[in-house]
Amino acid sequence: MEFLTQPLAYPFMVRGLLAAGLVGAIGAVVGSFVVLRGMAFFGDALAHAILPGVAVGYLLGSARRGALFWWALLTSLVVALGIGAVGRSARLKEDTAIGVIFAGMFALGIALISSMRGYALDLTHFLFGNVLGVSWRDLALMAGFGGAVLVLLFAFYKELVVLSFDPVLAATLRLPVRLLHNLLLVTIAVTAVVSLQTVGVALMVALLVTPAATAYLLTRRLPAMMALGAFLGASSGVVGLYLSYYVRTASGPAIVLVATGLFLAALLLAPRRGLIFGRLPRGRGEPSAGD
Amino acid sequence: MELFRRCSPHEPCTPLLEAEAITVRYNGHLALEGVSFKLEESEQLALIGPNGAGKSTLFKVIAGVLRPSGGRVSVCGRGPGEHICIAYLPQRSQVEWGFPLTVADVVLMGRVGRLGPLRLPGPRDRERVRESLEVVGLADLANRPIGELSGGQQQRMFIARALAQEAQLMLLDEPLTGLDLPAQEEILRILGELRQRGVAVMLATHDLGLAAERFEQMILLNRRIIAMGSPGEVLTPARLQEAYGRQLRLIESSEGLLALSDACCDRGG
Repeated sequence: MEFLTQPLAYPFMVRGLLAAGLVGAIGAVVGSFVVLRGMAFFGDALAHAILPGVAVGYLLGSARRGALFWWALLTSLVVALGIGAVGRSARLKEDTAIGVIFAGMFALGIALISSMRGYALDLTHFLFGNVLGVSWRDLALMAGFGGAVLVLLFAFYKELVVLSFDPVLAATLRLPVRLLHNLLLVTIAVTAVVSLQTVGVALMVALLVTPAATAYLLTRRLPAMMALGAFLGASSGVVGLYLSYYVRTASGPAIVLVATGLFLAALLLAPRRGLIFGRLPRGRGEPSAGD
Repeated sequence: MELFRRCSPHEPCTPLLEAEAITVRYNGHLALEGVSFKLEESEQLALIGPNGAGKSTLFKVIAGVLRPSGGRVSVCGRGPGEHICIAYLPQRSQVEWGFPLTVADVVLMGRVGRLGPLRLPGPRDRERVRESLEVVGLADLANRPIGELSGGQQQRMFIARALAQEAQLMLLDEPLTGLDLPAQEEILRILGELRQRGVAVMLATHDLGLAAERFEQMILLNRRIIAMGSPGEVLTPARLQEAYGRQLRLIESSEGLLALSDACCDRGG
């Protein structure tokens, strides 16, 4: 027991565990849509594109750390809706447009931060997270915005499922397709900002994709996938942080490695979709057995 | 503008569907040109034509999903965008079958338009789903993951979804492609059931023989309407040649004219 309770003597560990659990759970619920709609690259790009926003906040005064959250949020929302708009104009393929914006924004962020003296440690925190630096105020912001994301996703759950599964059906049911799509982009953007301190921009996509993908392998229905994903995400956060405490490794990577380990275990052992006990997954559009 | 539109069920009207001079242009290339026709309640019409003829495009215009560059679609005198009673049934190859949904989950999607925002499906919606599944003979598979269905079952599930939607016009995009004969027969039996219920149907197909046998009305399309009417009127050698060009070979045999197609039929036009 002492193994579990000893780190709790440090308030920063308590806050870190709460943050890691919270972010893991929210990331997996949002991430279920990311996984099912094939938006992993969008999520990864969005996370990286937050960096210049953080950098501006950092340059304007590293003393006022609280302002970073709002700069990150603003950047994230602008980039998410910007990518959505670029994706609609048919000049370029969407992933090309995302790639251009992603790399450009990321480079801008690093250029800005590297112009400061003694930037190396802070840059590492932005890239890979610093969950032990989370304050109570940060935690409250994360809970507030994360909670809002969950409320929005549940309020428009049935519409978002229709849009994700069959966009043409969404259009013939006269659902506000563009608004719903933007709503999804906004929830991903907010989730990215909420997760910023826990895993950093470089590893954030793991929080969106990995627990949700693990849950996908183990469940048959979307609500179950979301619930299991949330549990796995939160567990990865908590277990990863304990691991980093005892093994003395960086917390963000430890969390991601735990999530990845769970994924690999599910991939091998899942009863239906796994490699050992499951059938091979059917490809898109492959004809299935006759009646 | 209302974000979530509510559409009330309408009285029977004539014609149910009227397309007037529909033209669709993609990047300067004409996909459809001057397509005009009418469809009445309970009427069933086969839409035939080669790959790339614009069959799916026409369906999307009728469903109000794609805005035509010219012309007008009206359903009971109003634009398709004002109705939730038009169902477009996707080609099976366009569907993500790995989605973690059950058959009942997908059929219940048909109710979402009538439910409106922030409302959960109630007992009446579930009853409607159950009834729709019974009509297509899938009641036993309601809780089956969609990835485990056969091709014919997948198609019937989408018909059930359209029934749950209370669709009065169903657009079936290549529903028979890739199905074996018993599965095709089952779909055709359900089409008969739809006729009883007054549902108008347009069905895109590559199978000219089946269209001729089972449909009284057909449209032969290749960007524009080549011919329209009964199979006898439409399926003449000259018109088929005009629509298909070299995709279709016509051979005189002792028992009449044979149409031999070598077109690969997996993708709709």
